[in-house]
Amino acid sequence: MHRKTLPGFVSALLASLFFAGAAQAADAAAEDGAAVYSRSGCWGCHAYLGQGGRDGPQIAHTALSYEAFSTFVRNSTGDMPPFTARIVPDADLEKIYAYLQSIPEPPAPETLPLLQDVFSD
Amino acid sequence: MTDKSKSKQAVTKVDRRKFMAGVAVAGAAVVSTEAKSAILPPGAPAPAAPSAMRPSTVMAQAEVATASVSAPAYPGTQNGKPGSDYMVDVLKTLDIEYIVTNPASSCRGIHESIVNYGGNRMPELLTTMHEESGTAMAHGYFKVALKPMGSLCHGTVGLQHAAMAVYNAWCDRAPILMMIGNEMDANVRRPGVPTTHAAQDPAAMIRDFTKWDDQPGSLQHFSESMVRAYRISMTPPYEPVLIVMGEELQEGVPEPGHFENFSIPKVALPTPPQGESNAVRETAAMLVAAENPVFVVDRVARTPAGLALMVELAELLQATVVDQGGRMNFPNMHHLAARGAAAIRRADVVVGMELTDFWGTVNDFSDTAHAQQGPIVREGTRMVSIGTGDVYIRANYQDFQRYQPVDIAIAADAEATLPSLIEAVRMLLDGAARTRIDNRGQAARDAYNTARSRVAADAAASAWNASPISGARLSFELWELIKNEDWALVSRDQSISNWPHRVWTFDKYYQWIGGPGGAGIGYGLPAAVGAALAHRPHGRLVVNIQNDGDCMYAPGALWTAAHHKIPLLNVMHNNRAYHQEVMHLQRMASWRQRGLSDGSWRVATTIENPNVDYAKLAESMGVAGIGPIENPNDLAPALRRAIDIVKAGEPALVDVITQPR
Amino acid sequence: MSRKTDSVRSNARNVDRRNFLKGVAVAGAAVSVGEGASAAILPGATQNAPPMALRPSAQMLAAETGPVRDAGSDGSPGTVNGKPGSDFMVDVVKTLGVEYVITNPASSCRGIHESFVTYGGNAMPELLTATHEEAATAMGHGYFKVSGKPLIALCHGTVGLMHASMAIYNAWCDRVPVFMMVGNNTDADTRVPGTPTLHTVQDPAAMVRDFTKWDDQPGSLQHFAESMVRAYKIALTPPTEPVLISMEEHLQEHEIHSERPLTIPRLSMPSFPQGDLNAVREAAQLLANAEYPVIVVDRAARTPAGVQYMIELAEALNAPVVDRMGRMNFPNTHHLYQMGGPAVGRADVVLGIELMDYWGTVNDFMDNAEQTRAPIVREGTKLISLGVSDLYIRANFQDFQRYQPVDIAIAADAETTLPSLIEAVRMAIPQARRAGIAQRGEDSMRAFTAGRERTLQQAAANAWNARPISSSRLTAELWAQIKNEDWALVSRDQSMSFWPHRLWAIEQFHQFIGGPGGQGIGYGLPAAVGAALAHRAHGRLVVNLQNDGDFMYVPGSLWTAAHHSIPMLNIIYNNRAYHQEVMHMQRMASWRQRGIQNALIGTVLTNPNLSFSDLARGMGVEGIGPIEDPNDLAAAIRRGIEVVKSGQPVVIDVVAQPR
Repeated sequence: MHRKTLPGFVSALLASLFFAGAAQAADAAAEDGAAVYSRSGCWGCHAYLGQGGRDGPQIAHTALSYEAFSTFVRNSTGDMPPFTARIVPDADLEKIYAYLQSIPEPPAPETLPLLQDVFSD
Repeated sequence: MTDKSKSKQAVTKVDRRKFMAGVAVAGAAVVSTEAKSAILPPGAPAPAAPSAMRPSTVMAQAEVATASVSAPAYPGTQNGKPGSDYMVDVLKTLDIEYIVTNPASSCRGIHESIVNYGGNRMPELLTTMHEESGTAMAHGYFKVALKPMGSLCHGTVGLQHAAMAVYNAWCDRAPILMMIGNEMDANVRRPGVPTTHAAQDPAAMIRDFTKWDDQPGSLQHFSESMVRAYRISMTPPYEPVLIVMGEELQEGVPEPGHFENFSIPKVALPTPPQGESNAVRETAAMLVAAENPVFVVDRVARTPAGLALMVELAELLQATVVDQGGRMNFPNMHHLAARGAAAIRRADVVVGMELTDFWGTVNDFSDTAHAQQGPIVREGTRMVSIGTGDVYIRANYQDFQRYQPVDIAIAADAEATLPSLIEAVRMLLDGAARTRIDNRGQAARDAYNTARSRVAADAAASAWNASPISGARLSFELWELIKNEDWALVSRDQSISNWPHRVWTFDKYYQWIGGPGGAGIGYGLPAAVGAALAHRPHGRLVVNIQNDGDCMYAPGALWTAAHHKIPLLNVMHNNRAYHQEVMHLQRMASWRQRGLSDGSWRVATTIENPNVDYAKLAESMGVAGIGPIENPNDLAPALRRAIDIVKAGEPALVDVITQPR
Repeated sequence: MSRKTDSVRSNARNVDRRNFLKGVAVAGAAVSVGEGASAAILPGATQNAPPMALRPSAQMLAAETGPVRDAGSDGSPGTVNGKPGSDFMVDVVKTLGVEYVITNPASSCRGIHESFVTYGGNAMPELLTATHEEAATAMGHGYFKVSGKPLIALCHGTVGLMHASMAIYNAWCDRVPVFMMVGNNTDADTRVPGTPTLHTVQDPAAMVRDFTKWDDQPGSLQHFAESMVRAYKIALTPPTEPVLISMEEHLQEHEIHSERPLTIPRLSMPSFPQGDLNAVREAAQLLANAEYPVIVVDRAARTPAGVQYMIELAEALNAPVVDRMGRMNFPNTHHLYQMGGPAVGRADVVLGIELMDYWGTVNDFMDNAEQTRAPIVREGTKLISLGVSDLYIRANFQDFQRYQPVDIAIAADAETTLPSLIEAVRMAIPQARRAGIAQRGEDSMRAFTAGRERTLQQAAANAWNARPISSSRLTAELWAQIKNEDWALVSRDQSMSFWPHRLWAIEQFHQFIGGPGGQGIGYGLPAAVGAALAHRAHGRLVVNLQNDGDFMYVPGSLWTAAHHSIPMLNIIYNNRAYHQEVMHMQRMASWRQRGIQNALIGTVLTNPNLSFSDLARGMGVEGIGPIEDPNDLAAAIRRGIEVVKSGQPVVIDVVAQPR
């Protein structure tokens, strides 16, 4: 087992993340994307609606551009294992991204009675 | 765990003896003295008067039902006080409320003594359906009651069943009095199954994770070893111990002559070791001088006092406390409570107290194909360890974790050391230090308030209305119903992404008891039942958030709760998988670039097809079962119904279909 | 058995420091890039060795599993380059012809788990899910006794193996080769801290070594290949016993590094030890010249051939065969068959074949306060032992039973020795004894016929119409509906007072498989599921007479049967107690003259009663009952058999008499 050096493009990625813009995807792609999201196992750590949890951050409505998102998914060397094009082809990854951006916005906390008086003590 | 009668059933003595023909059913028979032949062992009990000598120190004697034994009128009976009655006398001095057992032939002598001679009180017998569950019950019980329970097991097969639960308790520093039956002497033990269930050294297989064990050779030896075992297990580091009870000792009737001096030693627990004063002062100086001192705690609070001392120490220094959650160490809604490692990264002094894993606390390790790792603390950060980890360790099992060098290592019980550490810190505080500390406190308060105000938004964003139900929603719905009760959580919450710790206010010691310690699955349900048993006399509303895969290890623990009327609200976190393993499989496949989109991730990782109906499962064991609940809007009424049942003194289970985490 | 990520560790991500993905890291878990690891790199770690492309020569099955992917060629730095070690491990397993691997998934086995389901195509072996490692191991136990082949129980290295330990002891006592494979990681530098480290151990096999025949923790993949093949060979050589292989996680997860081509050694099974010919001839002389030779068998038949040999031997001598039921040794419809009885007491020669307990066979030991014991054989009775017990024994656990001196001790595999013994007996029978032997046969025939009559009368007299339902009634009702099927019993029947052995015609090797061996409870249900799995390929109607207390040890096994569509008829013999222990309590209390009113404390399973039909439904299995009226039995059994014939398990809860 040998350790990899940090590829140069990752530094580029790090820079790009701050300027990521959300790509607008077609509705059809999003619909299909839900199936691909499920099939590709993303839900395992990021849960069924991309809301995240103990084992993975929230990725619904990610602030990453598709390019940054894709670069990370393909090249992660951290806690998230890399999902290369061999197992999630580019077309599928685009659909996943579209799905993540299409997930309905969460309700505003103010509208949820349970969340109102939680810390009112 | 049972010993079935030997299968040579037809080779019975009834024909040969020509008496009682026709009444000997299934091998159970009484026998007359005419069967006594010349081959009886030397010293076999001659009819003798029962021993009237009572142990001098049995304070519980008054509670005991009559111990009188009839005169030897019948030849098949025993004369005098059997050995296991003496054993019960010993147990009664130890203030043991419960002994949990799956009945076993090698323990039949003491079983009978507990229920008859002992009146089934102090200790009372509980029935478990698996020795693993019995032992885990004792584990959970201890962490609430703060006194040990006995787990009575068959010597070989029962102990094998219990083994993993013993390991959990070992890793979690929970004392359990393991008691097993055995018979070493081939001349007196029954052939066949009882011999298959005997061993020279039954403790051998768990000795690597048991603090002490003994196989006493006499009742006096038992008396001393039982008291010693109790004392060893209850001296920090608390750990499981094991006593082997010879069947001959239990079932035989000792001759009175041997017992004139039978005595039960007093327990006299030693004081726990306190940190050496110079090392404590050095630590205090380091803390007072630090810019960003951080406490990391895992099992620092052995008792409620430990919790109060931690608050005092943290507030004195306005130092952040990172609670690793092995026990209820620090109030989670305190402004100095930190979750996660950001505080550790900023620290210039890290004091780790009773940590399982100091290395993992100050290092980062990514579960990658290349095992990336490195320190997360800044260079030059000073580290202090306080804990019993240095006092007691065993080889083989790697629960001692990776080696971490520190600047000051204080081998001592942390809770016992805290008062002197607090005192030493207080003595060093001067004006400059106080100003620095006040500023630190204000910054911590600001950061805390900011973080807290985000929780509601985070929860709303965490699939609030989704089905399967999110951990955040479940936690809020539960909190709404329990926050005005005297509640306690008896499970971990990491499988629902720690939402209860983000939402609920944990400020009492008993509201949280940590996890299995050894992370062995099959702990959750029975430990919750044991903990609920300890909460029962206090009338608390006990909540167990129960993972599905763990429940399937030994679901019979539900029947134990029903049978003994242990009120407990079980809320299933039913993600229909061994979800941790789903993720592991995905990780492997990703490293190897092999897709799992054909569904191969489901193979041997999910619990579906058919789905398990936990409400039905509960009902089958006499426990009220509600669900499956799939719509989050159905949660509140379901939980309310279940709470009503629990308040009436019974266990209940609500099956909630949930998000993965 | 799960490895939960340590809660602190998962929070220990330097999200702030890296300043990216800020705001999306919920609950502290975040991704990290390689930068974080910079300081701790090992010397030489960046050296980029080429992946080994060498394939093992014996990989005859590689074609089935697709090409080795040249992972990492697309430049993703987090992937494994080349074939991972666990793929090679699967190649090794495939050469052994193992059909099934039963697992409760575990992180320390994640490498090979993934290889089984992707690289191995989840066929030969196929992965099955158990809800407890104890159940997985017991399934392997039951499966072997029907199929004659081992399967693999794949367990987490520490906590999983602890869970499995009692089931291994059962298999050990029952001479069953369960193939244990566990994951482990002995290198502190590469293992994940926290829980995965809690779940590692220097020597995982230590805790089960007293009841495991052989174990190894290979240091390389080549070592693994050799040790797997060796373990298989050792396990399947009589005395057949469990073995254990510990798989290092780094061997599973890393790409293959090997200086030399990896090879998989051929499996070459040894021939089994046969009894010394002189000893066999001497034994034959004793038997041939005996007035009343008696054969006692426990695990005499390892295969169907063993049953045929036993018939030949018994008929050559017209000697009664006393069955101790460790296996299906002898047809219970044969006139020489005895379930016990006074035969041993009458014998002048006793031949004990593969007995667990010879002392207990020829001695009486009464469980009374005085522990009365006496030999039951007449003075001067010659004793012969034939079996593998003298070949292999371990200290500590006392399954070797009490020491029994014998006149001729033949250390050998009985089934292998029987042909020469039969031959020697035939040659040794003197002309003068032939008439006497024939007469013995006629006497046996008469006694057997009379015994059958008595049995039927006893069956009817055994609370035939009672509620709770009697064991003889249940047995007879079942027989009426299975006797014309290709049926197999996969449980013992002693808790039902042996009524199936008294009323059913058990004639084929596969129709009875003995018991747990070590008498550890929690064996019944999972072993029955494993046995039913092996029967499934033959389309047999599998009957499991299931004790209630045993069932509650690992009820999740029922879900495994449902999940994998394993047809089996589970009849719960529900006497609502650990009944053996009820009797023990009564015995103690009676000896001590304290009354038995408290004997039910801690021994019964009532208040609340268990509903096994609901429990079955909870696991997605059809549940019938509780059946309390014996007249409802027939219809319930009929429905149960319908379900089983449709390919699914079923549970019938029968509320029954104590025995």
